[in-house]
Amino acid sequence: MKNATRRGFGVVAGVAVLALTATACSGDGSDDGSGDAADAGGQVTIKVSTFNNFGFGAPSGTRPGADLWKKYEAEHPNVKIEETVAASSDDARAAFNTAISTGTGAYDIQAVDVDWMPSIMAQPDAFVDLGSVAGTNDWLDWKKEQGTTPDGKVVGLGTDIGPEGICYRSDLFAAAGLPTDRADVAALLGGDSATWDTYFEVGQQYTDTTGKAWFDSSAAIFQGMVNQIQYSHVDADGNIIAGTNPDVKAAFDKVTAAALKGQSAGLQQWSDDFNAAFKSDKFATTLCPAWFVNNIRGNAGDDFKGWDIADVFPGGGGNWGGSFLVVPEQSKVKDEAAKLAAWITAPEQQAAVFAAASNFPSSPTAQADPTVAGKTDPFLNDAPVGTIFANRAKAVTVVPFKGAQYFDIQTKMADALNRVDVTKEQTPEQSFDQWLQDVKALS
Amino acid sequence: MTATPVAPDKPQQSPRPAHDATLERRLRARGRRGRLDVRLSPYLYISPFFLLFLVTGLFPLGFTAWVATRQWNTITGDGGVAVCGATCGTTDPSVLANFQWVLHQPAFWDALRNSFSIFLISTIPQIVAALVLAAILDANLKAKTFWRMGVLLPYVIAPSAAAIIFSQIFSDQSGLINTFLGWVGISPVPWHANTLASHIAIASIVNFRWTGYNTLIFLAAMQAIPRDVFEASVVDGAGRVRQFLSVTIPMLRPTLIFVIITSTIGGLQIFDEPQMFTQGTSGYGGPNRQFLTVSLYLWDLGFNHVSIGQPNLGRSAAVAWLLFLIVVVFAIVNFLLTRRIASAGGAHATKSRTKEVAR
Amino acid sequence: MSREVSVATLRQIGGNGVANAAARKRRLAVTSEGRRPGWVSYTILTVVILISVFPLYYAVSIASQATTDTQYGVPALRPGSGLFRNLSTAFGEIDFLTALGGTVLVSAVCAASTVLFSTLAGYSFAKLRFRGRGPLLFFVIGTMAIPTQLAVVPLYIMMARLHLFGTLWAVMIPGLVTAFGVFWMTQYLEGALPFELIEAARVDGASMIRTFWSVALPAARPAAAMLALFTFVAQWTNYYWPMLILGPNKNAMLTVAAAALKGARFTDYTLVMSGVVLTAFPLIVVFFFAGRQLVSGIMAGAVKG
Repeated sequence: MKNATRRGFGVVAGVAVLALTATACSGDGSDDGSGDAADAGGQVTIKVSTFNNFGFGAPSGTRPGADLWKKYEAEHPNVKIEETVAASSDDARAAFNTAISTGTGAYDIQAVDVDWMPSIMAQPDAFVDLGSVAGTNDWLDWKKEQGTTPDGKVVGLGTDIGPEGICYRSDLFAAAGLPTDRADVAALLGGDSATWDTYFEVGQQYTDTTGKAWFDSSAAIFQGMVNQIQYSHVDADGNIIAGTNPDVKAAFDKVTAAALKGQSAGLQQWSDDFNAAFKSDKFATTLCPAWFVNNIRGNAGDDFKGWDIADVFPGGGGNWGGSFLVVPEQSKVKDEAAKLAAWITAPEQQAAVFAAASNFPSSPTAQADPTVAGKTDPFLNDAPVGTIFANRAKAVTVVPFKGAQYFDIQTKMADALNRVDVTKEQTPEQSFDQWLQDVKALS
Repeated sequence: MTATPVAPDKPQQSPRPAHDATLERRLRARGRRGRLDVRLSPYLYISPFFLLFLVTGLFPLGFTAWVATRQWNTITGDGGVAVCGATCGTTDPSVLANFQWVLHQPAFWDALRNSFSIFLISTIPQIVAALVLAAILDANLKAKTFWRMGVLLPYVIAPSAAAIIFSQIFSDQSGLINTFLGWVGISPVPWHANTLASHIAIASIVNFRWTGYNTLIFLAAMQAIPRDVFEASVVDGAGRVRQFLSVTIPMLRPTLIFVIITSTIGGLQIFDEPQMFTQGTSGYGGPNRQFLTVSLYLWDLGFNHVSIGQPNLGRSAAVAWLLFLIVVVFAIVNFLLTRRIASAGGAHATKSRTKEVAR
Repeated sequence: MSREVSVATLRQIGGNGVANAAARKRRLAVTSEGRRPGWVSYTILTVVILISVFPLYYAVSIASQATTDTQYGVPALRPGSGLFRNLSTAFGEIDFLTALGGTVLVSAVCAASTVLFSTLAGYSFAKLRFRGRGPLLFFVIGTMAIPTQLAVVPLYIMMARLHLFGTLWAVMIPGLVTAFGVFWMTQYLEGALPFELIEAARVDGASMIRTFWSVALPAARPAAAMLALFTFVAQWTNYYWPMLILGPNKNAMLTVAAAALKGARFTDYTLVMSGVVLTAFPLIVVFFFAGRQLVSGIMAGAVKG
């Protein structure tokens, strides 16, 4: 016993020593990194937080990237860039909120999803005005507007936008006797005058023929629908209109009705099952904002054959997602960070990102760039994604207003849809009522 | 406080006043400096602990109470006295408003239900399994250390890591278990959709980690049972099972009570497993709060879904205090219960221990 | 700080109580273990160990799949060909060395600090007489049942004010002492350290601190080693507090880094599992060397060696 404990003590002591040496070697990033951001030699470390896949970094595994950090570092030898990738927009938002609240933990550059950009715009004083560094960068008008306060302060520089097409499985379409050519599929869904009704009608045909689901997730479809409503959960004055808005209720009813008729694969967005299912034959279509192509490819695997994209979208065009870069005032290297944010959102870099990954430029100049306009995607059966997404972007007519409360209300809406679609424990009415309660609790 | 009744045996030597007296007499002869040394040293030795504990344990307790009465937002900070708002239909500031708000939330009550349910489902099978395993290990096995280490192995796996692994096993459509069930023609279990199923899944992650640990605790207790007791029961004609039920189990009572109490305190605070068990990135605890626990609710409210304009940290603090009250009530009930059970058998030791500690 | 600390440590009280019972047994000099177990026992144990090991095997198996190896609806039960490639990707993705260093540092500092301060206080409570000893000790024991979550909100605010958010300091500070540690060392030293020894040292002219150093500390060693081991494991496997307070600094510790890998949208499970395998691996290695001590620690508690 005595020997045994002495050995135990020895092990712990040994490990402790190991610890001290280990951290002595590698500790610098893990401790208080912001303090020594700019040291004597003019060296600057810029910490960047992104989520999902922005395509800025070196390509690794299933994450495509344009390797832009390296390029910037080569042009600016005194700069070192550290990017941290959060798993998702939600995770990034939670981490960012806690960081900004503590006054110390925030990154020098933070990527912000359009859905929670309004909560950033509600506290413009906490962020650097990027108007002066933006230079010759250009953005679509509505994109620029979303990142600019009413009095003209540029809080966020736009990265990508998320114009949506319809991604479909041509092999499953063929098996169901549906057309497989992407122009025919676009026509099947209604072409330029495509509506959600047509989408669900064709879906019903598919489901009745094959016994399989038409789309992946009700919450995903609803995202597409809600992004076409100018004022969904919050009105222009910031009042919560969730619950009284007939458009939202109509969209909810439509998608849940389709789900109850077997059109939904009943997958909860971003769940393990959801990710795994892009390799399966469980569903035939999914809404396809440009950035989502990265996800489909990542989930299905590079060599997976079958996915294709049609230049069509129900209910007019739609934009889902797309992000901004902001620089918190807390940053100790905010001038350098602002310069980097401006550089990486410049047309040239936006084009490079789309070429490598699938995040569609928010800059008209970049969109016109031949590498963008001419891009085809081998994963999507060599679809001319450059033209398709450009067309899809042009079709966007409604720029939804999202107040500061939008994100939370929409999150609860996803829960409500999942109660009907994924866990199947409530009727649409029960679930909608519970959503109204949830919204009330948000005040 | 809950630990008191099952505090370990008073060791053989208690501090004997006689010794202290002699010690002090001798030391007194050693002059002023020595005396000061003797008088101050005890305080000096306990002070690092108490100072640190004051900062990290005691002060936060009071501070939580303060935050719980305020409209405290995680980002913007203190916003005055709490207001319950639309939920209770009043905009009057009140120090109890956050508590009112929390008690009005169906989510809180669901969380409470889930915490208790998961705690029960994880504790009872775990204790039964640990008892049986301990009984098996108590025999004269070959390669004892191997078996003991084997059952303890999961203890070094972090619950968060275990939960990630198990989420691959319990996925609703693509998980290992449901795939197997599909192969043999059984309909899949909705692990995330069904409340009870989700609790069972989470409980099995907890059990994975802790069963072996409890087995060893029971094993040690079993080995402490005097063998003549067994011999007597054999003489009385008891079989192995009979012996286990009517001799071993009663003799393990103090250990059992202890394990139950600690499982209660831990079980009511369960967080890692349900957080990692959540599918997707929102709706922590399931879209209908199937496996939302109190701790998970506290975190989601205060740190995960943070919006400007909501007193979310204040409400989170109120949840913390309600959790504390529940644990205290539980501790008192446990204390009274164990006192009664303890007085039924082997009472003297426990009582003297309690007195000793309480002195 | 975490549930783990409280549970892991509190549970040992059971071990401790039991341990003393074991000592009683020894005194009674009853020989244990009469009968030889049959194959049923071995079979059950084998099954149990297989269940213990299976999740780990499954994790490694998933981690070893190359993207072309996996197919929907077929569980990855057979090891694939991509283990090292996946591990090395995960190694870079979670910045493994930094995370390992951070975890080891936090665990080691907390273990060392808990042991040192608990031994000091335990010695004082067990062997020295001073005003307020009883109530203070009772207070220490009373606080062991306080849910750690109660402190999360204020600690978070405190760390933010102290500008420690996102740093390892913030993770470490709440774990520097535990009420349980004091209780544990007090219990142990009461029994294990005879007054005669202290007295002898004092008569030899040793100061109080010297007495502590040369008499109490060596006597406390077995219990201190156990306390260190358990605190170490508890901190290593801790997730809640580090996750909360490290904020964006996700690669600073192993548990948090592994959890951050398991994200969504872009989840490559072979990569996630590689992360889990990597982060679990170091402690499993430690377990192979110190597992025996861990077992005897749980079982014997503070039985004098």
